[in-house]
Amino acid sequence: MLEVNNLVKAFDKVVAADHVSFRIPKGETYGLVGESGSGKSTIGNMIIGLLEPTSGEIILDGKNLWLKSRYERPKDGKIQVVFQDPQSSLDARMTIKQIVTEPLRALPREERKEKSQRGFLAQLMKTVGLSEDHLDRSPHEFSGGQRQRIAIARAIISDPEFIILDEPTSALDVSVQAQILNLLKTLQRERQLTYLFISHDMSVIQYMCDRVGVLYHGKLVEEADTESLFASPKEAYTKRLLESLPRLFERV
Amino acid sequence: MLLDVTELSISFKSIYGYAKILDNISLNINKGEIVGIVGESGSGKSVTALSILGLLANNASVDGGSIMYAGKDLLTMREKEIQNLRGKEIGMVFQEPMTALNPTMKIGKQLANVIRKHRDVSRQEALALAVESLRDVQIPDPETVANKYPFQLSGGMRQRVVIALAMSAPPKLLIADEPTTALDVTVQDEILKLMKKLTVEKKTSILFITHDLGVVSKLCDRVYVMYGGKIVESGLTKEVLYQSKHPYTKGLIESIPENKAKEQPLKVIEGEAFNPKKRPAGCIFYDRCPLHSDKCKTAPPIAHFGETHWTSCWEVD
Repeated sequence: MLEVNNLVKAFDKVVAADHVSFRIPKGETYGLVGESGSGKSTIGNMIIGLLEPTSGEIILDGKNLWLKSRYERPKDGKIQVVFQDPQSSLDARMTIKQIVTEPLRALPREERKEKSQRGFLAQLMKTVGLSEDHLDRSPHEFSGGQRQRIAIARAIISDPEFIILDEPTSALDVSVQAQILNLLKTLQRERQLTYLFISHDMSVIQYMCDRVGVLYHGKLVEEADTESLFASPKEAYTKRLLESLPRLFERV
Repeated sequence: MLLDVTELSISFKSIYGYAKILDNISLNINKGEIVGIVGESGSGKSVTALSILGLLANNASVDGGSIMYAGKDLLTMREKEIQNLRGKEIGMVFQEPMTALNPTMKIGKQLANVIRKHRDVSRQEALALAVESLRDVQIPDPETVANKYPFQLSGGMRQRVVIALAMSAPPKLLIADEPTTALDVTVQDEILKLMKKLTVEKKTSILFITHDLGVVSKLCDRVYVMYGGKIVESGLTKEVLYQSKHPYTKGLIESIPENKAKEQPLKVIEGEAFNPKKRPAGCIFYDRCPLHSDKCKTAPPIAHFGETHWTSCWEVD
């Protein structure tokens, strides 16, 4: 579904992404893991068109997304994104209904009409574990976990095929994180979604992803399916990352 | 016993009235021990740390209890006396290493100033000691680092400097509030090893506050689990983590994705994080507990399991 080839992003002196290549088959979850400054989010931003690559290509369903410094948008609403911080990613002055329906502005009139109906929105809210009467409230009335559910509702309203999840649970308490991870898995199963899951948390990556790429200083130093990466990491950096992980069960 | 907190209750005043934030908590720390407080947002773990240091905001009021440090009650001590303890006897490290340092002063000078506050040494000697303390926290090339400003250092290096500052006295008790939460795991790993080493070498006790059960498992001898301003379970780390009794502790451990089968959904604790405005009357975990019944509407008793392990719940056998 998504193919990234030799992607490079250079800022003045820093190379944030250095010849990164990977591919994500439809319906799978690909994890990008790395520490701060490793280039994880830069790659996500190039895929959704927020940053222009220095070189390399990003191909979605056979179409090159960046041509001659222009972002060729795929079908509207096909790619969506959920960010880390649910405090700042929802506009405080909008109602939940306005927030959730914002992506509809880009859609054709028919679809826009159909999806702005109260019945449809009520069903959407239920899908993400909220209720219809939440639609008329403001973001500040919600907790972190509920805000992230709202962000997910906003992402799936346009029936996307591909969603970038940029640290979607890093700001949440673990008990709430589990609810959101479960929701993401359910949505993926029901809608055949393809995910790019960006995280610094190895145990979340292990639970969520089919395949994992390890980023270090902008380079993809190792890539493997999740089981083999965790069972037998090859690169010294991956090993160090896994050893550093404070594991709950290591003394058992 | 170095620190003994008994039946401490604290509430905060806001425009909506008083909200109870700590409800009758008791905890203690022995010499040389690393004790963890683990909890999610709103559990009261940071308020506990601040109350020990006498740093609570003006709208906080202590409704009862005592905080005995080396035989003296910190709650009745005068500000001047507490100030003498801070840094010298009780050190502290907070989450944000950037805000803890003075951005306009070189690292070595900041350290030397602190050292001169606690010890009777000349400026020259203090600077030499500052470099030594940077070496203690395993900063490579401490002479050069002493000559730098905080912005020239990475987050991990800065947090080491903060630990060096806190350990420079060295204190008998170090209170660390999520000191590694903002750091990458590899750096966190080094900082945790460092703190462990310091307790061995300098016999400092550590009260380590975190939301991360993995960190507790790695570092702490004993742990207190907090929820909604109450301690719901306590014991040796291995007792609490591997023979958990309280439904909240169990739920917390089950909701961690580590070692879980991918095909199965994670077990979750239903509901949202604790909200002090909606404090239940009986058991604090009533709303979210899978086992709750009518008797849970009155406060649960303490159930003991051996000498060190206890929980506060009606539903344990």
